[in-house]
Amino acid sequence: MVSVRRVLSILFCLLMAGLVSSLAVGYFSADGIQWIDAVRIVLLAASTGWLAWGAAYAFNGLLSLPLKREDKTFELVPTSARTAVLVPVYNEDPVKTFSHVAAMIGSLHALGVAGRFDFAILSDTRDPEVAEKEERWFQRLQLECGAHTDIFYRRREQNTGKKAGNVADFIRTSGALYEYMIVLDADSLMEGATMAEMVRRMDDDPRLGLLQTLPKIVHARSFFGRAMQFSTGYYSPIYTRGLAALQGTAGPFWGHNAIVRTRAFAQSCGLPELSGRPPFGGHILSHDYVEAALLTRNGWTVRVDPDLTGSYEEGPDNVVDFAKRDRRWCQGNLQHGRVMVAPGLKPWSRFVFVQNIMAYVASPLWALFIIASIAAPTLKGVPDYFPEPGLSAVFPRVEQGLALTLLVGVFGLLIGPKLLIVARGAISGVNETFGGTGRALLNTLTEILSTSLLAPIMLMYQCRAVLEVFFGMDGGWPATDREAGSVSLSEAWSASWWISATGLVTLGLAFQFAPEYVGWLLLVAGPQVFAPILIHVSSRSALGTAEAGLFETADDRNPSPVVLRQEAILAHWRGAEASAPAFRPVPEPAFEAADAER
Amino acid sequence: MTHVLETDSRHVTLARHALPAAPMAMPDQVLERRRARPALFSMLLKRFAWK
Repeated sequence: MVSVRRVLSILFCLLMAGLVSSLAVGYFSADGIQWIDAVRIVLLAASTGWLAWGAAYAFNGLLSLPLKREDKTFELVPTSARTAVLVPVYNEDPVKTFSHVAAMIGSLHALGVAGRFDFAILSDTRDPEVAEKEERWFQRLQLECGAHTDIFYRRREQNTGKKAGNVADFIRTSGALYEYMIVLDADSLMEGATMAEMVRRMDDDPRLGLLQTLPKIVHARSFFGRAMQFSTGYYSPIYTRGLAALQGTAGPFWGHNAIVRTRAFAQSCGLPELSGRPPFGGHILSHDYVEAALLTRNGWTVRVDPDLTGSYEEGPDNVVDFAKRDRRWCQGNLQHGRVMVAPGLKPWSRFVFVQNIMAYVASPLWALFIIASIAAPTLKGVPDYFPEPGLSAVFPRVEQGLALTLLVGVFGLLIGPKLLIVARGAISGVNETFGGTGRALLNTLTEILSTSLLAPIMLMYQCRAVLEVFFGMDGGWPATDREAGSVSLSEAWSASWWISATGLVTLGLAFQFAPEYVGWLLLVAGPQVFAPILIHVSSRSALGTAEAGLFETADDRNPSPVVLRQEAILAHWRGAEASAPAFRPVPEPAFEAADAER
Repeated sequence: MTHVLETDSRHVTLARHALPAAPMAMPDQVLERRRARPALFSMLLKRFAWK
């Protein structure tokens, strides 16, 4: 069944790319077809095929069962397995990170299973001030939660291999004690019941090497952050169902909020340095996908289970922070070009690496398509109005109808799945948890509009990232001094003036050489010209509008107990930090109210 | 819980919270194919080099 789904999905992409190509041939050949048109058609076909692949994930998810919403409760079963919960940290605010750890321990303790889990804070922090704060706040964590479970803290002298090296160091030091490891990020949060259920599923399937959850974003404050939070809460479960339907035994690893079988991981995932110098050589940056491929190579199953709820993370609250993270991921994903030819990998794993590369190369392909379209009229020269001497003039046909069909087709691949998710939500009952179908539809349309405005800006950041990696350059980012995640207009200007300039140059060239495309190009170049304003406005706090239901998610209405618990602990600790001399305990009633809700 | 920690009592040793010692081997995996051409070239060099 998985093979059939995979073949049908790939055929769907090829069909879409073929359809768009045939429409493009009709449109571009109105004034005669030349080599530049062939280039444009190839670029458009590749980009459309990639968009169709995203849509294929959505369609697989939309067609997957069960159709009706299920509110799962996870049953606790006895286990003899010991699990280490790993919290790798790197210069993050320890008060914040440890509040997450305390909330998870509290959640496990409330279930009566905290004793099955040990927590290990694995610090790679280089800043001595942050390190000192980590040690101080670790003692606070130990005092408040140490009675329920073992909590360890260690800081490495050298952060060799970054996060992958940090986890490997733990395995080489203490791995033999633990059947499983739950790998987290500093901003991860998981319900105790979810962690216990992950252990149960690992116990049930001895070939399961890694089980990934779908983390939802929480604590977003800005308009941009809340749009992302809505996306992960509303669309991602469907896309992840699609991914699960296609994964077979070669599922994904996203680096955190996942459980791994320690023996399998140790046996399969020791990552060597790649030969040559960075960016393509050296340490493997996007290690998670490589680790998933290596587990599969050794015969272990890697799986994502979309029904594992109660898994959370935090996301960037503005475009600049998002682009910084994207720059890192871009370098790591392009490095997969070196790894995808590793001996013994499953074909699907190799295909996943191609997808990871395409996720970033798609932006330069679109940019090249735009450049080729502006250049085409100049390169094609003056049309021959008198192909046959003596007869009347023949003017080139302008196929605006074809152009519109082309645009609708390409946008349809982007927008169509989202609208179908709203329709499915109405049938399944999911929309009820998002404020009803009307509100879910309104929020989806708002999200589509905001994504359409920000996508041309992200396209430029991704083009720059890809070029930097190919030229072996390190990204130079302006220093930011943000309050609550917001970006001031001057910061936004210094981070994106070059995008505005590119947008203006694009429009100028289009007016000069390809005036018939100006209308279409405004969709891309327009938002680019106003990039600083869009970045600034989208980073502003949206909490006021959130109360009115903008980008409302199920977790806004019914917050998870572990999230409420973490918020209460952090508020209390921050209060203690501000008004020290003495630490005070968090009042227990704050948690009891949260736990009683579920 | 009613633990209270004075801020000036923070110089407590962390040694007792160090990771437990239970090592597990984690060998490096093979990710790159050996390049046939340089190996062949160096073999030929060795075989036909002037002694």
